Amino acid sequence: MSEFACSVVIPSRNRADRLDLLLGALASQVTDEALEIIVVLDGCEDSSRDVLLAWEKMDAFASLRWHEQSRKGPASARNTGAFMARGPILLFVDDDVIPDPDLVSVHLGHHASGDRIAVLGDYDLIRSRPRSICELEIWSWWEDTFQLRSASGQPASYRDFCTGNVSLRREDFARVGGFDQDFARPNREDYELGYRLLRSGVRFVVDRSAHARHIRDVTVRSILEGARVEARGDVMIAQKHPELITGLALMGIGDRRRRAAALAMFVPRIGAVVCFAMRGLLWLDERLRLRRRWRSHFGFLWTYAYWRGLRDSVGSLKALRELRATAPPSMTQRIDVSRPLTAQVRRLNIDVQSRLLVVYGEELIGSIDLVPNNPEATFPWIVREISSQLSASFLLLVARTALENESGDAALGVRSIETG
Amino acid sequence: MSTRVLQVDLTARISDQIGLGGYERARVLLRYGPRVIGEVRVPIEDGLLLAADIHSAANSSHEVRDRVSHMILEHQLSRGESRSRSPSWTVVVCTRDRPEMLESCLQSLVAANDGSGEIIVVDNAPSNEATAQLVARYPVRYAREELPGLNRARMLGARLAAGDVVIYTDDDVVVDHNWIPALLEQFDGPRVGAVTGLTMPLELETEAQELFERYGGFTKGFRRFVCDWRSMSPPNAGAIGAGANMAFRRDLVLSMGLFEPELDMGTVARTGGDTYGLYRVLAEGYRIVYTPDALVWHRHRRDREALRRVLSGYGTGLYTFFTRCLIEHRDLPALRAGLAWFWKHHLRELARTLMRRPNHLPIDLVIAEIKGTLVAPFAYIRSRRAERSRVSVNDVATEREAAA
Repeated sequence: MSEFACSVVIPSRNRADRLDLLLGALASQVTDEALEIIVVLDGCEDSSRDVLLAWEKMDAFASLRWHEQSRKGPASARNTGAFMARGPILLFVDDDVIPDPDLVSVHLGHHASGDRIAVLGDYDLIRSRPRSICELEIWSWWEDTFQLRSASGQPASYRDFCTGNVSLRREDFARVGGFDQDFARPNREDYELGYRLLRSGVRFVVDRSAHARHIRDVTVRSILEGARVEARGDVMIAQKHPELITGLALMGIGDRRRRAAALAMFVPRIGAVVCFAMRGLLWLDERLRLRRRWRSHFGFLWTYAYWRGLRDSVGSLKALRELRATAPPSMTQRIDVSRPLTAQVRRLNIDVQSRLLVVYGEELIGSIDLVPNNPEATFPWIVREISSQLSASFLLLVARTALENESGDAALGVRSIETG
Repeated sequence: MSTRVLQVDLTARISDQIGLGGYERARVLLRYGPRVIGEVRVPIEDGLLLAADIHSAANSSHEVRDRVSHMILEHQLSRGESRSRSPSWTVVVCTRDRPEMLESCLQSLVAANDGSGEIIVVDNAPSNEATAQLVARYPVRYAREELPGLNRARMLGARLAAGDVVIYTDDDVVVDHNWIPALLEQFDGPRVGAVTGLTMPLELETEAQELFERYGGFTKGFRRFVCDWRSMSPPNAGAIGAGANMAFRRDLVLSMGLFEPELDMGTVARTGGDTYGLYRVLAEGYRIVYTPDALVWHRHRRDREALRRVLSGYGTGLYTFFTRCLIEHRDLPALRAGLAWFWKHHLRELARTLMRRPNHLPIDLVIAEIKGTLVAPFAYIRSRRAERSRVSVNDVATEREAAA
């Protein structure tokens, strides 16, 4: 048995002041357990090391260790940290996150059972006021993500796995081989690990009370740079797990964004000029609070950046089409509406395109198409789809069952009408 | 010539005929247990309302039929689904010298309180003790805001509230027994900032009340909807609800100072404080949910003169709100919303009246409302100046006190 209940693994790159805040929050955790803090400095050129030295002098933790490496990306840094860890539970916290005082105890409470679980906690954006439209956009996206994955009866998705605030057993982490270090930038390495964890049988537990706050400077520039890197991540996920292709943004493109995608793919030089002008418009939209126009312009820029990323990694539209073609055919799943739905819905696989057969006992009522990345919570969505698309056949079956139960003889009801 | 308003629960058995002498037609709100489905209009012949007429009207309405079958199936499919815990709540009723109205409101509120929350009556700059005496007879808290201003009273209510959700209503409504849980169940995550509900007319006895309904009334339909800044331009917040039936997360009300003392009743701005509150919630990125299941009944003004004042007040309040959005928040879409509303609502109603189209509105009401809108920008500036000078006088006073 290890002397530490939990190893907190923090990858960090050039964020000395935030790292300081994070260590402060970790030092004031309300828990009886001994914590091991591991910081991996990934190509740091600032005073991060001094911050760590200062904390070491204060002797605030049962153990504080760090490792410095040349820049290899967060996936590699987290793997290094996990390799150094001695506790049975790994808690990954990003360097721009400030945990609530009970964060560690909430995480450890879930792991007390020893089940093969990963505990996913919230880390909402700290917001300024008044807010820029850009900040609203990103904040809305994060909050919707947290809300969706914690919705009641929501099936687990590999996209639920975000590494800012997550804990899992070291054993499970090691069994799937940790993060894939081919992801050299912060681009979907967390999703990809989430997928392998889910496949290896690890269950995701979403707990909004495992709460932290996220300090992030949200700027249009940083998001667009992120989009370009994420496109590369998506391509890698597509290459490694073709079954996930249908849910990736590289799969399709709305008609309105076609032009942005085409510019990025075929004439990036002209595209750069168009984007420069678009950035000017975006600035104007922000000043005048023209939210709808801002979103439309931003959508254009995002698509352009994402497709530049696709061009960087696959090269041409032809190669992209070939990649898309590796997607396996859609699969079939089933739910039985004569039995309680919640448990059945929770077991669905919502990461792949599939046909959902709706049955009532032995009888088929009909089918609905499950599309990955549905922004709506799955349970109410399915209920609504069934009641709007399949209501007639469903009602008939319910009525027939009621009739059978009442008379004990299915034909009785019909016969009495004939004779009467 | 008047209309009777009533509600019918489709899951319960109703008598074959209901005697309603003196009424020409009925507006029947249809429910499916605690859920609200829709409404139908049924003629009353010889003072009798026939249940068969209600049923045939319900059956011939596509909307009602769809919603009933949807509700039955949803009920069937969601069996065993556990509801998440509701937040704690406080109802705040702001009132000013209308104890006779307040009484029926309090009766319905006390009946709707299952003991899980509290009710606060904020008495706003009262001229006598009548309200205090009335409130003393009910199990509710009483607070007094000496300075006139509905928004000031709303803020005081939020500061005193113990619940995480502050539910606002007016003194001229009667609430449904399921009103509070129906509002609370929509607060299902931190992104939901406010919830509004359905406001139906309590009675349509006079011409003025009928006219108010023809103006659109307060009803926002029988379909639940969720909006945020992406789906609705925040200056259009008036389309989501109004002060008679709205609930906010208390931390938002307090941290944003949601109800500005410069707006709404008690100031020259006259109304608009509720719309502005909803606007702020939307503009800060939160969601607002409208649910028809959260039902209150509003007593519209009975006489014509009062109605004229109300409409002119709405005109002023709405455009004061737009002015504030433009000046304080540099929110250009508020200008577009204001112009669009002026064009699509006021000018259209004026044209319809002048051309004597069927169901047109009386000219004096249309003009009163337009007049109200035209003074709005000045009203806002005056109100703001008054508020600022009051604040600075206060500051000087406190400074003197501190010095002494």
